[in-house]
Amino acid sequence: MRIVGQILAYAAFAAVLGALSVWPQYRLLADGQAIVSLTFSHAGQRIEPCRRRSQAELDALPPNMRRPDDCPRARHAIEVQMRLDDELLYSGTQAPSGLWQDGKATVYTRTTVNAGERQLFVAMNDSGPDSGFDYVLRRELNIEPGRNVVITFDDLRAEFIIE
Amino acid sequence: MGWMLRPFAAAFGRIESPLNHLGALTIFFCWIVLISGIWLLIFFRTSVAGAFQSVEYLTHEQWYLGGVMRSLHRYASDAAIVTILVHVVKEFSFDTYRGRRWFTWITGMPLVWMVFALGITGYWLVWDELAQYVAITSAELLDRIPIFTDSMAANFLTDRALSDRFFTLMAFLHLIGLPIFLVFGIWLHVFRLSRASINPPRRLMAGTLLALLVLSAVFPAVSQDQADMGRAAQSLDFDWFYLHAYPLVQIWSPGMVWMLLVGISGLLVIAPWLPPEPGKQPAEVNLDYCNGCRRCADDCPYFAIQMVPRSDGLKYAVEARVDADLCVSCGICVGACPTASPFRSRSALVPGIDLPQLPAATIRKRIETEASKIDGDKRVLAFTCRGSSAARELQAAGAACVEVECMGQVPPSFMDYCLSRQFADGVFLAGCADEGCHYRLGAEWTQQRIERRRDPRLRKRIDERGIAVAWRDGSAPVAEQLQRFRDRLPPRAKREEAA
Repeated sequence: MRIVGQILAYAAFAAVLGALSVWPQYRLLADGQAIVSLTFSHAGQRIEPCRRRSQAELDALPPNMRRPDDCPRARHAIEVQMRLDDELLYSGTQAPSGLWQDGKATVYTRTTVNAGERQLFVAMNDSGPDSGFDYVLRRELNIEPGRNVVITFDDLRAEFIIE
Repeated sequence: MGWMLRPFAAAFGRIESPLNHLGALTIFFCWIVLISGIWLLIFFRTSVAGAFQSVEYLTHEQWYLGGVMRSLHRYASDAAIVTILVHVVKEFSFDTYRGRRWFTWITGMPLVWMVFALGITGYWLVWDELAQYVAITSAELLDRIPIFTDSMAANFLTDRALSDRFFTLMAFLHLIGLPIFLVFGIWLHVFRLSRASINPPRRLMAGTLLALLVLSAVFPAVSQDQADMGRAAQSLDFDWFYLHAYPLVQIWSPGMVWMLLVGISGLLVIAPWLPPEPGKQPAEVNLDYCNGCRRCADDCPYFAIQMVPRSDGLKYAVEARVDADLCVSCGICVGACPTASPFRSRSALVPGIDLPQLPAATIRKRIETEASKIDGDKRVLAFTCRGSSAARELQAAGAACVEVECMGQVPPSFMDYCLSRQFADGVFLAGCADEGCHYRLGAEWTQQRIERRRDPRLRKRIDERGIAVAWRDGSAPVAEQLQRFRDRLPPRAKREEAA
């Protein structure tokens, strides 16, 4: 009788392991849905532009710190907006990283959307508030179901790209 | 929890019940994971293209060995989560984590995190659709920690961003980094436990291994479609043992999930003080009666007694010293002390080591008081552990009850005292089962002392039929066991005749 109990216990244990290691399935996307991700790191423009130091200013500095340009480190936060047709997928302002607010600001968002012909609008302002968007991308997209559309910003080309 | 122990005790017996070896079973599963993992490592290729292909090769081309090893690797990892979970629930419900046992409880918490990290990095390495999901979601969680400037999750969104070096890093974490910390963590976890059981009974090992092998053969672990950065999986076969929190990242947010996980962990860490255990005084050494025999140090389940050079000039080389920070006040040392003899009449009953909250002299007094309340031909005096419900059941069944801190606190000489001084016709020990002992080892030492296998031993003049042990493992109600003991006891006239 005890051996039957043991077999039942081992069988139940194995059944629980086998079942919960794959079941129930986790459904990430409904039929006809896709993912749109927006991700990039970008340094906003400097809040104050660099300026040339005068000779008097340079003479006043220790020899090892006599850089000809004075560049205040702080940068603007970046303001980003992404729309698909009239649907606002992302809108936010990201501060620069670093203790001196001089690093890159990072944007990351991943959104589930309905597949199909969609009008994409993504824009960024990196030059301070109330100055309008500095970079804009408008594109007609044919998003297939199950597709992972990734939008990034290419610093070299200074434009949004779709991967 | 008792209701849960009962069927396992009935099927596996008191000693081999898996619920009494949860920690050791977890370590056994880790061994299976390690051995099967070494086989997988031999064939695993740490590159974006090679990772998936090499696991596929193992699963399908080398199904007879590599496939079985892979399945064993997964199922043993899942089994470890089950045993860890039940282990935590059991220790919590048995209240064996508070007071001076906080150290073992708290050092178990990082182990849980490490085992989860190992499992998650393992799923990552397969590089199928589930791995892609795990990579992105884990990175989103890590991005929430304000130590990274760039987004880590961005590395898993495009083929361009992913490099082979990432798999080298993950393989290092999964195969070397985390396991080293895990082994160190296990050592720390059992550091304060004397004779910590790190291997389950052989039959239990064989049974669980066989169950995992059968499961691996019948239902082998397989990969899902290869990861494709351009696509998002619609649905995934999900390992809920390791990934149960991941869907919450999408439903709530990474920050909320961190709050939940850190909150639960934080609560568990402070649990030993919620509320603080009522103050218990540690055992005290009475040097005048301590002959430095070391039995108390040998029997202490928590390394709380050290033998140190004699400080009082007596002829013995060493004396016992109690570390108050480690002593859980179980009294097992009193049960081991040869000077804890109730037969002393000329001097006060002061053993070499005693428990201030329940001294040996008080136990003797209670034996005498309680025994005076029972009469009849088959009078039974029962010892019960503190906080056990057995006392009520046994009193209702007509037995006299003396409550002790742990059954291991009762030296065999006290049983001898009950019978030879005719305070009772039978002594009934209703303690916790071996591995279920609230203080660890109390039941084991008591059993060995009664069977005359461990000092201090039961004297040979005692008829073993007069002593019954009813370890409370849920196999039968204690009152029923008492009745069976009474039925076995010979009538007094026969006993006197035999004497």
